[in-house]
Amino acid sequence: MKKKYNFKGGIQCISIKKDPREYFLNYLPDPEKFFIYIKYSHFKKNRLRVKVGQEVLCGQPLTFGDDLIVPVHSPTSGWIKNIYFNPKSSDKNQEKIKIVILSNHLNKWIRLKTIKNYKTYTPQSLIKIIYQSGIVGLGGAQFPSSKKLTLSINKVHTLIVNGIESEPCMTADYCLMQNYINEILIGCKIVAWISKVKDILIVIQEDKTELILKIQKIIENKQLFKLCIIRKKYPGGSSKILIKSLTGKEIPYGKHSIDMGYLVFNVATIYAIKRSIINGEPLIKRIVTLYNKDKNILSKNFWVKIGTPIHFFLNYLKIDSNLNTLIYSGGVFMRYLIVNLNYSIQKNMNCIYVKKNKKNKKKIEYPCINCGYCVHACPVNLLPQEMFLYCKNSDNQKLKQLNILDCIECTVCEKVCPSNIPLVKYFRIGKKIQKNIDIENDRKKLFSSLFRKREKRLLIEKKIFYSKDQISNIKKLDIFSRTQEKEENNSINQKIIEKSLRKEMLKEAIKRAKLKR
Amino acid sequence: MNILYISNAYDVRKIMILVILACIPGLCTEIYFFGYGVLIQMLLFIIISLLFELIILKIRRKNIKNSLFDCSSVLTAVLLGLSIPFVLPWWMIIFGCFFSIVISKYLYGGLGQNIFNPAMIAYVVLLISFPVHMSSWNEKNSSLSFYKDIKNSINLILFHQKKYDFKEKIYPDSFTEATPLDDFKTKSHFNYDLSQEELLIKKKTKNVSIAWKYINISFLIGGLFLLYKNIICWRIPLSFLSSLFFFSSTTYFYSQNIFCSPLFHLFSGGTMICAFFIATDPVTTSSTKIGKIFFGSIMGFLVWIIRNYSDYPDGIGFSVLFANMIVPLMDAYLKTSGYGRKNS
Ligand code: SF4
Ligand code: SF4
Repeated sequence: MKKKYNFKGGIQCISIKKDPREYFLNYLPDPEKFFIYIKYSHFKKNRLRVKVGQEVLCGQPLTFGDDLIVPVHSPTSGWIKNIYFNPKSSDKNQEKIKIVILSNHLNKWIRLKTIKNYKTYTPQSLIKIIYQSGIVGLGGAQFPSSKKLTLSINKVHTLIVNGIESEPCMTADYCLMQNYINEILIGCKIVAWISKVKDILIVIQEDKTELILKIQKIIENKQLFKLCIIRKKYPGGSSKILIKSLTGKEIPYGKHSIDMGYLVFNVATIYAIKRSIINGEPLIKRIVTLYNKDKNILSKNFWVKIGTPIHFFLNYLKIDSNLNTLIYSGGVFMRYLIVNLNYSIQKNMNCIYVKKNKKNKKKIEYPCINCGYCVHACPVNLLPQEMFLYCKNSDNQKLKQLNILDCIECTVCEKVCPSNIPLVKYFRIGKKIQKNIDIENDRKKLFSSLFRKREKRLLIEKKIFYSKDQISNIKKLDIFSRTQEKEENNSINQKIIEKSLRKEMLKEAIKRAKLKR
Repeated sequence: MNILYISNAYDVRKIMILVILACIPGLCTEIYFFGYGVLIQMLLFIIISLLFELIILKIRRKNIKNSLFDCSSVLTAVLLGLSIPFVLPWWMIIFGCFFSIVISKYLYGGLGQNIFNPAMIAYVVLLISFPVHMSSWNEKNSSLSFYKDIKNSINLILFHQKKYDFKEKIYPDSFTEATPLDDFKTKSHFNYDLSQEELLIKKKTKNVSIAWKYINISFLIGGLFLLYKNIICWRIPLSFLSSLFFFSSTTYFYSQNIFCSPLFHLFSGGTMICAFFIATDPVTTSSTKIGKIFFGSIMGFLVWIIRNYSDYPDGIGFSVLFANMIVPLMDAYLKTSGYGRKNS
């Protein structure tokens, strides 16, 4: 057996029983209405490409992207029923635009541009295609892949294909790899060609033995590829921890894995890149795992179009969504409660977790007994019990010393804690406060530097003013002794200084205006 | 907690109950060697400390059900009962319980807030105030055994009546039979010749030392059970025992007359119960990994010093309390926290 990579901390999960249902892929029919939510940091109306009542085709871009957000595509053919704007909401995580598309169930595609031989294109043009197809990291980060690729050109030496699903109930990536392994390998080659990578590591967890054997057979003669097996442990899938367990090195604070020469991509992202370049399809669907805790039989994977409302998804599978069921996005560990069932499947949603709400079973919350289980379990070497203490007392300086911003909110500490303390709840609040404090500090620094600049400027102005006075005095005293040349010189100097001053003032004004926004 | 997917999931209450269960082998051997008084005393300890806790919770208006049934005070009482000799009268038991539950636990703020180990506080307080009672360990088979049956031991504990068998001769050492550690200490201080009587005493102490060996071994078994169950961390017992072994073996190598052997150190007195049950009390130890190793080794060193040089026979209580005092300091300075901060 090959070497198994491991990392410190984390929780061991019992692996899921082998079930043929795990790698069957089902298709979901089109719903009547699609809801597409678009996040914009600075809302601009002219970013929209469509109008109310306009007819759209499948795969037609709905927006222009900007350098932060990739374009969004229509998942179906039909017409646009409504566009809602919600620019007032102050919460940054909330979506600003909601587009409602009525489907005509025809699924007419726009003309797709296919590429047979991608090696004839330059990397830049390939990246542009990836950008135009709207591909983001499908593992959950939602970072635009095109940006990652542009950063990585000539900088990285290894591509890590992340096929790990540390959440025990998720099987979406496993399912994808079972069914489309050849296409994924082509995608790997495309990425390797774009960013000039020498090695490709495919990382899989140890319990997927069938898949490991399959990949080993395919890879055998290819030098570029390598297979790495990782222990079944939560959270192995996070890129920080993945690199640490593969190489033993930690990414220095404030840097990215690209700076260390590693490019990490999720399997699903690589599949999407392949589809976009070879087949020309934009990203409009993804695999979603549905996990129903009370009836384990229903756990299956589906191709779901992005924008499908969740209530349609649940209704189709005859899962009653009344008050007694809780619906989360995410797995057992990292999950968020979905309150609004009109909310639709997003690009980063890889699992939907349905659970019965049991009211009678209440956990007792004991005080922290300082047992240190959480310290041993934390995969990024934090001290959760001290962080909890300081969060409770809101001691922000101590929190900063404990590096609370490094917490990846994996909820391992919370699951291990024998006292049933909701630790991550506290950490989220603490992190928010920390971020606000950081922003405030930055602002203060900037304003103080501006103030100092202003003082300097005033000083210079004063000097010029007094020198003017002196000149006039001198003029009055002895007009004849001074030659005219010197005066001219003085005036020219003055003009230059004033010009530079004006420039500076303009720059500062622009900066201030940016901050105010 | 989702038991389906996570392999070890504990609750505070479950941890406490498992630790109490792990005490059972030690308890059985103690009953075998010292008679039923052990059991009665233990029950008294548990009942009285629960009563104290109930009163305090009533006064502080806390949720009685949750706090009373987390079993932490039961565990404290059990540990206290195991580390104390078994002839204490009832008022001394109440005194000990008062110190352990009220003063060292609830005056500091309840479970999880105390800096000192409650069982050891009570032990030390009793040791300082009643040194004679606390250092007399009576054996079941000795000449003056009044603990053979339950009735006598109840009489002894509750009413402090001793029914002596006057047919047998009373040796001056019979009331307060010294522990082997005590015996060793007196011997090392005065080099005296063994007379006829003393030979008899020596025989008896030998008996006692064998009893201690078995008791320690049974605690070791309980501790290994806890380690297997992943409840306690291996760092504290290992570092404690190894540092004790290290110091005692080097000095034993230096002079065999003055110092006793490392094995004797490991298997006598309260070494094993301290290593696996008392020192690993989560509340009062450091929670970082390096801190735990430091904690254990400091304790081993202190135990060795107190056993060899101080006037008290066994230094477990004092060394635990002293190491507890250092814990906040260690927590403040032995911190390694954060991901990727070493390089920057
Ligand atoms: S949630 Fe944060 S503190 Fe807790 S284990 Fe995960 S990274 Fe560590
Ligand atoms: S696991 Fe829970 S009880 Fe134990 S130290 Fe951490 S926060 Fe405290």
